[in-house]
Amino acid sequence: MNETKKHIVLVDADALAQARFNTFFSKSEVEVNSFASAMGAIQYIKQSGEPDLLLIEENVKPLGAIQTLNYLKEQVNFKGSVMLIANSESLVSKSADFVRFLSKPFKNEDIGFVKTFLQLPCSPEEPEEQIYSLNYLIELSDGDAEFIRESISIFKDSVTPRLEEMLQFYKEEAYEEVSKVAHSLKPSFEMLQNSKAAQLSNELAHKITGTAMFPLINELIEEHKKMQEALKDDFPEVYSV
Amino acid sequence: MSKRILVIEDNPMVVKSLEFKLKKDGYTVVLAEDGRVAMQLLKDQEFDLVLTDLMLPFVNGNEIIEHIKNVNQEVPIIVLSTSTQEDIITDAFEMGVDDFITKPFSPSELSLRVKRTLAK
Repeated sequence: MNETKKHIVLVDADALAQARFNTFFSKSEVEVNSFASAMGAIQYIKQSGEPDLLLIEENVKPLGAIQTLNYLKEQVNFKGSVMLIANSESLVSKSADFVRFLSKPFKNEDIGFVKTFLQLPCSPEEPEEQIYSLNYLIELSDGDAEFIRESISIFKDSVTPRLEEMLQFYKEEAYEEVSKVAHSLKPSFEMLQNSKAAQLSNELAHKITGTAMFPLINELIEEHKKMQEALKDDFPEVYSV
Repeated sequence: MSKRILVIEDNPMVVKSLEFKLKKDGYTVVLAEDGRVAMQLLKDQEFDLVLTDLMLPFVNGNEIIEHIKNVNQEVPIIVLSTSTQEDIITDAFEMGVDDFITKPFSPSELSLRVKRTLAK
């Protein structure tokens, strides 16, 4: 592992929470190893050593956060820093074992605390170069996991054919149609908060025409591919359908 | 009985979001993915509010607004737009729309504007 990188072990069965957590951190600064169960995390820590931070969900199977932590202390002599993830504050969350309690869905102030704790650069905004973010969908649906997965599924199925259509219109020199498709696609990129793709769509829709469109179309297709790859990594269940 | 809202929008992600939010707010939502379907629905059914995009396949938003204003002046209309369409928004207001919402919309703003427009 790169020595300058910070290392977080995240234990939470909620794939959505795992994916959302990852969007807050640059992969060049932080390595996040996520586990759906405590057993996987315990095994990993036994083999790889203590992370800079262990984040553990209150009711993680099979032991729950407290017993998992006790096991790590007794069996692995774990002395690292731990934060608790839970839907709401409880007696467990107030335990002195935990540096902090993080409520779900993750809030910017909690993530800011994690970044400060790990001595990472802390900006009020999420990184501009992010491939996607679920913040908008989470805000809109109050974190409704089914809605978020359905929205990702719609993105997966609807954008690719429209980009192909856009390219075809360009080949036919139907530049106005290219603009219309770009205009229609823009909200899809905005809703997943990819500012580069949204900006490219906007330029194709309203500012650029003719042969100057071609490099932007290619760039948009590339950015879309990156989004699909990242989403596929984070939501394999959506992409397996 | 819950208020009926016709949503005319061609981006499926925006449609999904509007449907989710409006249903959560207690409205009955009817969807039209293009202007032609919308025109047919407006002929066949009655709505308490129309929420429409302006750039639509087959029949554009302005034609839909014009049609509604000719047929039933009472139905309030909210336009969904992108922020780069200021001139088009101005035209829409001149045609008599009640309000506009920028895409992607703020969930709380949508709730508020829909509620306010329906209360007029």
